[in-house]
Amino acid sequence: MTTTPLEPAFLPHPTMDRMLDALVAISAELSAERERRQVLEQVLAAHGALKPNEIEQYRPNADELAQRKRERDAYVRRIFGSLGQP
Amino acid sequence: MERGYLGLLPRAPTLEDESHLGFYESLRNFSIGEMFPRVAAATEAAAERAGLPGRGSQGPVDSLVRAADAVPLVATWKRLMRTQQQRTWWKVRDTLLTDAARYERALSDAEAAHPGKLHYDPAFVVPDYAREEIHLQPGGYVGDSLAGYVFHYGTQVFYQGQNDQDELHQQVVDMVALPQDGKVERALDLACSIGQATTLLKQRLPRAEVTGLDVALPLLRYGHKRATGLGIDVNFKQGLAEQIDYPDGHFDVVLAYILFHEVPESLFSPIIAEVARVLRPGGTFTIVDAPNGQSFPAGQRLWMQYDAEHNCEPYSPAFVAADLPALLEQHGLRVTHVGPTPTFLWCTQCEKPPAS
Repeated sequence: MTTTPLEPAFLPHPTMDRMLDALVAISAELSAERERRQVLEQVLAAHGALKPNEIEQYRPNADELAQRKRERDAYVRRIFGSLGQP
Repeated sequence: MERGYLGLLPRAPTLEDESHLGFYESLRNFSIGEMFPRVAAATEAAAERAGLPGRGSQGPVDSLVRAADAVPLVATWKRLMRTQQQRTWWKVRDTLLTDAARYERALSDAEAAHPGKLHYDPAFVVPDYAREEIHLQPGGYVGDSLAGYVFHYGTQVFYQGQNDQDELHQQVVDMVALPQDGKVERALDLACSIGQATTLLKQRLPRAEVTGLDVALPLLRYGHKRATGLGIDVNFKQGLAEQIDYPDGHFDVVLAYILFHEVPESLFSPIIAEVARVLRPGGTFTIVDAPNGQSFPAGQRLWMQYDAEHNCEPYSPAFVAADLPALLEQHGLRVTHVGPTPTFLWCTQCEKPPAS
């Protein structure tokens, strides 16, 4: 993943810069997810394939859970990577 | 997976990239449109408190920055501007790199399908000054073979959504001065990048042979692929603005869009001398670039200093302080127009006096 040291620090403490950077990153992720979910729900509803409460009641299998974990780990690295820099 | 086009811009590789780029575009709109007027006001107030002059072309910028940086809003704005710029590049580049071979192949396929339109010498040596990672783009224009793709997506954010239809480049090409005698057989887009103005110049001057010259082969290769995909017949060539590899009097029209603020001050005169040489008598030279030789309010000076120091624009301050019209006149070019454009850029037009 492309990263560079989070320099320079503009705010009074470098951690504040990193917190703001993390806030931007998480906001980007959230914004993208909201758009994707909206697209998905519109596509499904258009095909008559999504009923009310069907998402809430869905039960993933073990492979799906493992995949979710991998994606979550990468997600955390993207958001908190700058906080982990020396 | 091909995802079609948004105007003239291929859609980002994934919906996720597209959403992220959209988010960063909105964040940039917020940072510039809503935050910066307050940042500018805070900077001007800080300058007044510190007894610094309100306006100036250069002035004591270090003192101004010290005074302004103590304002939390200013520091926060800088952090958001830098994070937005960095993360825009990272996001799209990371996705492109996961399928780099396919993107590389598309460039090579375009070269094979349209030979003779992209000219470069494998032995060409890129000067060190051109290796800067301008605007923090990873690898800059020359150090990443996918830089053209990255640049095109990234500048859609940088230009705040005004790049998918070549909107800004159309404005620039509309500003290009034409020779008074109306004769335009050959036009040069100097520092053409990915050739957006190059293709539009061809559309404005359909009977002319139009060439885009740039130091960065990755940008030229993408520009060539893009132009051939659009079915627009232009030439691209790798080369240096300070050493234009064409005969004396070869071109009727030369355009330099945002070239000068991205080269060292020591090259201003050599570049202008080369343009004066390759223009035929009566030919025109149009420059659209950062304003220069002007007096700027404190907020604008703070932003320019931020760009220079933190957005990798190391050469910009010297251009902003330069007297471009005087330099053009020194090289025998007659300045016909200097003025602002609808964007923050300025337009300077000149001509090589017709032979008497």
